[in-house]
Formats: sequence, C-alpha cells, structure tokens
Amino acid sequence: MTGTSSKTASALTASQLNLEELLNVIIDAVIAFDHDQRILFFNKGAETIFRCTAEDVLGKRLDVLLPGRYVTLHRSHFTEFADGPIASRAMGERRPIFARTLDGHEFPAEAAIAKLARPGKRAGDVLLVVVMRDITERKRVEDELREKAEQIAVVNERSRLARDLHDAVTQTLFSASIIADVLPRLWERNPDDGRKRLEELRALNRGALAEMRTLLLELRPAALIDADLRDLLKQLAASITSRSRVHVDIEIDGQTDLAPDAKVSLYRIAQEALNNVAKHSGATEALIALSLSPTLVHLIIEDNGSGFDTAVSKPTHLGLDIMNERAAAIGATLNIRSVLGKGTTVKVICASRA
Amino acid sequence: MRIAAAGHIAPVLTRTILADHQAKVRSALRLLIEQEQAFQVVAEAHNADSLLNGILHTNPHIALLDWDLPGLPDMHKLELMHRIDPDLKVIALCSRPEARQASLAEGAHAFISKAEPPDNLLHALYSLRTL
Repeated sequence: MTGTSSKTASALTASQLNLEELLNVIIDAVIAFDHDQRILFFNKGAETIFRCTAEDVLGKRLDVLLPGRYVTLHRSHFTEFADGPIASRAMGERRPIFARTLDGHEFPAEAAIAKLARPGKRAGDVLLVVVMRDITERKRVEDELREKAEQIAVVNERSRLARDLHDAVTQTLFSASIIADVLPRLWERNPDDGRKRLEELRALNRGALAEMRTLLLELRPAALIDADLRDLLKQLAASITSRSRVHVDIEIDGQTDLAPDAKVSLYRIAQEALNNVAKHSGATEALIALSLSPTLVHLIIEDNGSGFDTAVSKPTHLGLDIMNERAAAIGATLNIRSVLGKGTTVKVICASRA
Repeated sequence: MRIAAAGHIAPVLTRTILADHQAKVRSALRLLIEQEQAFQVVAEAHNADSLLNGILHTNPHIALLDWDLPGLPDMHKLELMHRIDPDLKVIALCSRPEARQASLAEGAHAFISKAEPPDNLLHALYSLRTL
C-alpha cells in the first residue's frame, strides 16, 4: 500500500501485522522448514504441542518430530510434495497421521502442508509450512461415541431377541402348559379328544424346541457354519410353522457338501423369504424345496398367499435387498416370481462349490 | 349344572371373548375355559379390529386380551373397548411380565403373565365373574 491510499479504520496492511506475533497467538503448531526438512520456524503453539522450545529444534530435521516408523514413508511423501505441482494439501487423507514430542510421546495429529517460493534463493528452493494440531482428545471422544453406538446396537439386538423369544417360545409353552393342565380331566371324559390334544401338545413342544434353536442361532451365528443346511432348513420350517399360521413343508433331495458362505447365505435367504410368508402373505401353506447335486444347488420357497406386485415393490421392502445381496455374495441367481392372489415363489440357484 | 339340567332356569354363563394373534394360544385358552361350566367363549379375535367387532356383536362380559395384540394403540389400549361397553371386564395377558404395571394402570381388572400357571387365569376369571 502506498501513502496516497486512503486508510480506513478496519483495514490492516501486511506490513502493519507483526507476522511472528500473529503466528505465536495461533493455538495450532506452525512449523516452517526448507527443502532439506531443516526446521526454520517453530511457533508457540508448536512449543506447547511438542513440549519443547524453538531452540531445541531449530536447524534440526523434521524427523525429530516423527515416530521412527514413519520417517522413511514421510520422506518420500515429502519429496513428492516438495517437488510436485500442488501448492498445498491436507495431510493424512489416506491414513491418520502421528507425531512425536522430543521426549518420545506419540499423538494423533491433523495437519496441512503448503509451500512458498523463497525470494532470492535459487529456483526450486521452497519454504514449506505445516500447520498441525493434536487430536488426541477428539479421537478419544470419537472412540467413546463409537463404543457407545456399539453398546446401543448390542442392547437393541438383545431386545429384539427377547421380543422374539416372548412371541415364539413363551406363546408356545403357554399354550402347551394350558393343554397339559386340562388333559387329565379331559381324558377322563373323552379319551378321543384327549388323544387329539396330546398330539397337539407334542407338536407344541417340538415347535417350542425348533423356535428356541432357531433363536439360539441368532445369538451365535457362527453355529450356522458347522450345521448341515438340511437340518437348518427343517428346523426353520418347524419354527415358522409353530409361530405363525402358515404350515411349512420341506422336501429335500440329494446330498452334497456346501461351502460355509453358500450355506449361510442360502439359510438367510430362506429365513427372509419365510418371514415374509409368515408376516405379510396371509398364506396357509408354504414349501421349502432343496435339491443338492455335486454341481448345483436349487432352493425354492413358495407359498399360497396373496402375492405382491414385483414391479412396484421397493427393494428395501420385504427384505428383497437382503436376499439379493446374499445371493450376489455367493454368485447365485435369485428369481422372485409373485402373482397377486396366487402366491410367491423365491428361487435360488448356485454352484455347489464356489 | 343341576339347575340347568332340570330345565327350570337357564344358567347365567359368563360370556368371554379371546383376543390373541396366535391361533394356538386362542385354541388353548378356549379349551381351558370350556372345561368350566360357568363360562362360555362367545368370540375369538386375532387383532384389534376383530376384537372391537366381537365386543360389539357378541356382548361379552370378560375379555381375555393379549396386551401385545396387533392393532391396539401403544397407550389407552382399553379406551375403544370401553367406549363400546363400559362394563366390559378385561384380563390382560402378556408374554412380557413387565407389562403388568402398564396394563393395571390403564384399567385392566387383572393381569396374568403367560409364564404363570393356568390356574391363576381361572382364579382371575372366577373373581371377575362375581363382581
């Protein structure tokens, strides 16, 4: 600015600013260094963050402020930047960065780097400036929040399982306990009716067992890997039959060993499809058909319910996206055919060995 | 009942309606109640709509209500039922024992957890019958 310019009260010229004073009131670390990484400037913020004085580090290489294991990597990044065309960028975009105090304390940091041409020096000689802050506290809060979110997810999952247990096992055992209570009196009066109710009682008990074992699998999904798909599907059929008004039949044909991920995905697809049948279809009958050959696996789940319009159904609706993802993950083809008023058929075909 | 068998006076049967979304539970409840000569099951309901319809058309004295019956509002569950019949007695049933307080606070006459023995349900039925 020249003397002829009008001075306004709010404008400050660069020369009026004491640059060093300005840099020293900044809470972040501001460190300037040359092409050889020799430290030329170290502000008060840097002294606080790195627990040393400017005298301790001036003239030394930047390496003294880095954890040993990063020195080589940092040098190559640094040279790339110093000689490259980009004038400034944030550091640690690919992975979090760490810095080290002179006394060896390591901390997570966030930093940006910029370069300036140095007037009066030879071409290509640059001044580099790093602005850095210690993000230990922020990381701690982030970790705490992540941990809280995980805890909440666990609590929600447990509540869902408790609800399922009540809705399935408790309901079934309540019914069974009433029948068992009434049975002695009933049998005296009407043995035929008694026998019929005894059969019902046995079915309820088997159903409760299947429901409980199906829910145990949700508590320990790793158990799916060791189980036989045929047993899993039989249990699922018994469980859905017990907890809903849909009678689920199962037909199994052939035998072959399946890769664990194929087994888990096929089970999850059957589970999703049958949950839809139980909750939304209004069906009275459903069938699981599993055909295993050394080359191909066919899994079909069909029902006689109300069906839905596949053209207007959103992918998130009815867990269709979950089924599609599961099928894609094991390279299976998934086909869902539904006719309004006629029911739905879900068909999965995959290779026996991926 | 001897009086009924003699044909002099029709017995006063306590009319009950059963509301639970699972058929097996309704079937078991019906079996239990039909063993008791003082009670009669007049209707079954699998959701809130069929329950309200049942109350309207069959005029029950007592409702055995699953507190988690689909279609019931989260709060004031008994309001619509009592609007149809202010004298209706309600026995709340629930898989979740923790529903006891809420159901009694909202005006259910008794609460039976589905973990309790069936005798407790019969006791509740008889005690409401004499009210």
